[in-house]
Amino acid sequence: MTDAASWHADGDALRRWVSGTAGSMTSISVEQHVQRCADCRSAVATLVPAAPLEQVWDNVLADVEMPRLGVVHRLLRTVGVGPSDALVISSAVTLRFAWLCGVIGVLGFAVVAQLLAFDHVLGLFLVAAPLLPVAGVAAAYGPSVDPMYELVQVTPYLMVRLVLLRTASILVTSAPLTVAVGLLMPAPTAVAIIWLLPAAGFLAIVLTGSIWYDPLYLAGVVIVGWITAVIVAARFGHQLAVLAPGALAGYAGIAIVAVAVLLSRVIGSTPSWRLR
Amino acid sequence: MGHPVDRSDDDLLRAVAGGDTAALRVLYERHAPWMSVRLMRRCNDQGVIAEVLQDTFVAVWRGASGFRGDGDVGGWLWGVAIRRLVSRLRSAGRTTQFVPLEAVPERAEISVEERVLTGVEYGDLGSAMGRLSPEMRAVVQACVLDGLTEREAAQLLGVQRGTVKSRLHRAKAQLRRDLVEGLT
Amino acid sequence: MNTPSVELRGVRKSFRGTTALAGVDLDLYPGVVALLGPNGAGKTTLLRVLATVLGPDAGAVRILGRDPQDGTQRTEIRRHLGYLPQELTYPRGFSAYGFVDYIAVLKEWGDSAGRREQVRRALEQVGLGDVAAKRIRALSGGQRRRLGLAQALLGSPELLILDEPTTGLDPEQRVSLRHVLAELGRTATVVVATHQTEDVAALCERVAILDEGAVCFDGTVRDLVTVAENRVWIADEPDPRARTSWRTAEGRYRNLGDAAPAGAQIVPASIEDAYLLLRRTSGSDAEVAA
Repeated sequence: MTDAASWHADGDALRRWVSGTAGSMTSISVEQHVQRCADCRSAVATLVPAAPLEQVWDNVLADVEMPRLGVVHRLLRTVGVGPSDALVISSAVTLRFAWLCGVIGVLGFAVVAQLLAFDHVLGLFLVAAPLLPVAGVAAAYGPSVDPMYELVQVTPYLMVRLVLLRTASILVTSAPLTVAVGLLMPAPTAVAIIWLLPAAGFLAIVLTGSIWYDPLYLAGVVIVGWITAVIVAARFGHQLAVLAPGALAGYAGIAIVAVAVLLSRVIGSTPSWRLR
Repeated sequence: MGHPVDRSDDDLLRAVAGGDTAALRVLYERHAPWMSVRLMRRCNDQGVIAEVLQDTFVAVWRGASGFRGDGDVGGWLWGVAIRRLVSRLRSAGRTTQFVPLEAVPERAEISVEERVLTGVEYGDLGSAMGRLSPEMRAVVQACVLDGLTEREAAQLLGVQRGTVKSRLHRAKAQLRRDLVEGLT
Repeated sequence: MNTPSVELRGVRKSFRGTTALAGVDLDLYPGVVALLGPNGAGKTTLLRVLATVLGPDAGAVRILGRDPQDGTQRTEIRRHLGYLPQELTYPRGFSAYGFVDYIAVLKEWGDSAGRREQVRRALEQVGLGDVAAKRIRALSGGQRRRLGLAQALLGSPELLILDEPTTGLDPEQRVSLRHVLAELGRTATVVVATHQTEDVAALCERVAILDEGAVCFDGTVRDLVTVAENRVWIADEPDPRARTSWRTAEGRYRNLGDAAPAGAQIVPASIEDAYLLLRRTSGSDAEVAA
């Protein structure tokens, strides 16, 4: 075969090839040649209508530039969550990945400890269960953990909505798992669910308090406070004292007050919760 | 923007691998026209071709780092494109849309010069190809001209891989015989 | 004059005992306005009040005809606002396009096809059109600053608040930024906080100077320069009668004072001269009404 570089398809052959009227011999020749020859390629470019190619390019650029939505995002959209809500929830996932690992780690440890009949497993569960959501929330929003906090604040998207959606997603992902592990604990079955009350109280403190203070700081206070309470209860009586009816009423009370404060701020801010 | 239009295809692909959409655009401008024509000759549905072209360049964007810099960017691009076309037709269950290479005779009006030139380029390959049966021509087009592997050709043509292998073998043998006989 | 887009009356703000704003009175109109002042003068705090990030401790604020203290009106203001903070850290794992797109979604472009157009337009306005697909960590410092600017420009806001937008930009990029802002300034109110006087000259029609939490000048650039007219002179030695002097490139001394002494070699005043003179004076003789 002759060296392809020494033969150029002439204009007529190219034209016939482009219009589809060239015979098979010419077509084979042109195709094999054009693949390697820049000059003939640009000649072909002048023969092909530009508009359809331009349209395809626009689509290519869009495909290439637009960020690929993660699994969580697509899942949320499929169940009907709006675009900004889905974005706000799924973008927190990267922040929360470390937290999620922590949750699985702690709960996994509790399961293993229980199976191996370690003594203080119940104490561990009592300490960890309400704090896992608190830690998650602290890692989910706020100027200390979210670099885009100020920019998001300045958009029409309500910060309150962002906080509540992220909190809800944290509860949805961690609570069932915690309840399941709770059922394995050497304690009355109720313990597996009752921890939700102190959790609610703590979350309410952090969420409402974040109107004035950094949520990371508040979460820290809550965590230290609760650990202390469990330890103290264990030393001076039984650790389940932290879940005594009196205490539970206390947590519920805190939660109600904090929610009331939050609502009063929110209702003052906007008449409607729906985002356009 | 300061991008010299005379960068080599290799350089452009390297830039694309580094996240440069301007380089992808230049590659597109250079190669999309001829690829669209060649694809049209394999499947005459404009809509499908537009989608295949789009998929191809998105795939180029994602896989640019996979190009082993052997200089034949056009060939590599065509390889991506033809495979996209095949997989799209297969998943749509429309492999019959694939237009086989016909033994279309040349029009009488082609210049003598061109006859001579293409004759020199491919010798009597064109007419030798014409003497092949349609099935053998199909595998030659798939494997030799379009660069598909035997397995891919088998998937496209809807036959067993062994069948492709033997047809290709027989086709090459027949072509060799034809061309050798043509010389003597 | 038409109604101001921003009105501030007696605005005060303190943080843990330090006063950032000590009674600011200011009106802003469409066009490009520079907010000049030394570090710690309260520029960033003032911009944050304008951007509805902070509420004042005292005083009245009206932005685009609305009251930012009221929740619904605040959200409405934010629909027409663009803000570039002084320092912007970027989240990990985003491309330039993805970042601007994120803000666009939160600015209520939802699923619309218009969103892509807006994002592309913002990126192209700052010259990042070709690197839109790159990861932010692969961008240079100047490109990152421009990216921050791009999100502020989304949707051509009526009020654009930029805190030191030119940091990290080379002269060529500064020039193109000036074109973009000048274009926007035809219909929008653009507030640019800066301590670079060259930016003021090139970018802005009006200047407000903030010193120790209060406005000590509010007027056109030309009026500002007038303040220093006949108060700048060149001599071979620093003049003790001057308020401040410094050495020039030619080896002589530029003096700034209350009045040039008789027979002194008076030179044309610059914005910087006026700025320095105003800064050193407190009290009514330094204030020049708009």
